[in-house]
Amino acid sequence: MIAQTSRMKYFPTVFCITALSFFVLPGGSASGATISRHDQTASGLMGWRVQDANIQIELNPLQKDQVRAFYLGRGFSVPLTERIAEACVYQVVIENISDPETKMPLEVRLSDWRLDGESGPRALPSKDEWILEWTASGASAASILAFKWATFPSQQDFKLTGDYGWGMMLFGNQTGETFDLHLKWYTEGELVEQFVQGLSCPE
Amino acid sequence: MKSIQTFFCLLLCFGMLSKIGAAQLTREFDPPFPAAEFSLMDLDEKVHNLSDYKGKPLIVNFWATWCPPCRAEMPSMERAWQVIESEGIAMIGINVGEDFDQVFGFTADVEVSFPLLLDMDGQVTNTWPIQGLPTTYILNPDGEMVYRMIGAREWDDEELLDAVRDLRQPQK
Repeated sequence: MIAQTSRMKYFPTVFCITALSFFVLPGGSASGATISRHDQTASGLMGWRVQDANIQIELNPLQKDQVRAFYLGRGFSVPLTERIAEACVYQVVIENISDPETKMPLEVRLSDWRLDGESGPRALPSKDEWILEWTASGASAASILAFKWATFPSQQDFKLTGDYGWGMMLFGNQTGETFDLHLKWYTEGELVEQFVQGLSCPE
Repeated sequence: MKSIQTFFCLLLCFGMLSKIGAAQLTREFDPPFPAAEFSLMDLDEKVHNLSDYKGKPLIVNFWATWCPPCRAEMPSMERAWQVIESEGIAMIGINVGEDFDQVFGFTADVEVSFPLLLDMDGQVTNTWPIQGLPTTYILNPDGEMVYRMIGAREWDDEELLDAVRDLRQPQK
């Protein structure tokens, strides 16, 4: 009887933790990654680095002037360039840093990532959505092609140690806004997740 | 504005150069995967077909002048080319989406003596399984993809070049 009472006593706590885990970790496991800040020497802005034994993800905010220079150079009009510059642009670099002997394959699908900012949690704007907007706004085919390849791939696998991808990511947040990112990737087919808190959009 | 563009390129390159020394293992398509045929013009307005290269291993690098890791690996590709050109191995660079002037301007800054082809409308990048730049495929003498590398590499690395040399057909 005493043992049964004791089990009942802990039941609500165990139930809550179990239930919560379904929301917080939907089918995946926490990465156990370290998150560090690093100084992007040339931009003067601090970036974020997420690293575990197999993957390294760098999230580096770009200055608006850097973004303007790049897209004007790719043939975007001034108004469209300004629209991009105001979209909270980061340079993202993802690398497979697994042990060359084990070669842990990685896969990243940006449609899995979630962003939590001032307007609440949401998916990241996709590359295709941006391209639709540029097309509707009359951007040239060459500009759109450059945007397509300069933007981080929507889905990419990094099967080998040393494979890495880079590209820009337009989060679509407001200037100065801070937000959290919920990163997901697959290591040898297994879903891994990591939260990064307190990212910011350059002023 | 020009100086800002230069600054931006330098900024991105700075971040990418640290990646070049990463492990250089290659991926094998098993079985080898047939590469889609193409017909593209180089800077001398000469047309290159993929089928022209049958009979020898071919390194196909997809790149753009505005892509920092692409720029960073180009000198090592040129050094590799100086070594393998006489060894029965071919190398081409396929520029994604830029025109003659942009690519020609790049060659004023960086010496490149292997063919640079122009895929101005994305003809090849839409048919080959490319996710990002730079991506490099190594084809066997039958025109089939054997290796793929995502991101820049040090192309004059002997271990990497030996993997390409091993694809050559044995002398009869």
